[in-house]
Amino acid sequence: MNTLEKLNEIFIEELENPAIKLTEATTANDIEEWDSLAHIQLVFTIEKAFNIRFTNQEITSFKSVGELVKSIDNKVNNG
Amino acid sequence: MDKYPAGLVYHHTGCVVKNLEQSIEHYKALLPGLRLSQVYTIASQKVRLVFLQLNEGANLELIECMEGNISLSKLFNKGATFYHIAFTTGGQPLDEVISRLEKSGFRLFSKFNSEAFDNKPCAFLYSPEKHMIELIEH
Repeated sequence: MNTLEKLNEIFIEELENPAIKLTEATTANDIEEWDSLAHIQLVFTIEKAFNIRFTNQEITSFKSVGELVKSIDNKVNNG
Repeated sequence: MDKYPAGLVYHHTGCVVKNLEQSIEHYKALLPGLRLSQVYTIASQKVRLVFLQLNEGANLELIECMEGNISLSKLFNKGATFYHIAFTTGGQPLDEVISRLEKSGFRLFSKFNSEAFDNKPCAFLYSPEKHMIELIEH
């Protein structure tokens, strides 16, 4: 399972929406449930799932799922 | 004690309720003569809210989710009626307080101007314990 697929599972579970199908181009505007409160809950779940930690600047600067995937992969691969 | 060393001043505790008017009546039964603010409708945050003055300087904010407020409704439906603790910044600029708290492990997730506070700048952060903290620049 690649990072995008794992993220998709997390989004479905966290946002309780089985219809979510993430692509790298997906943004918060594409998913009704993805507001600021949901975003921070997603961040906490992603950090736990991948055993990583985002900086505060990263948390508020992700503009798309693609940027999120890239950041996760960088952190996982670079420890 | 009404001030923290950093100058933050406790303002209120926010709790989510199912029905604002019913909850107001329950608190009136608990505290006859209770002083209330007006009921605010904050369309941008999809909530209705009211402040109850429990004692001097001790306020309770009751928050009712409006239609479409999916995230907060989910928290409420999971049983999270306690929502946040709010502080005014004691005259400090909001961004300075946020920067200081971020260095202590707090995580900012929302900045906004609240209609319930004369459109003053506000922010929501999570403490390292994942307690939600609201700051109001004042």
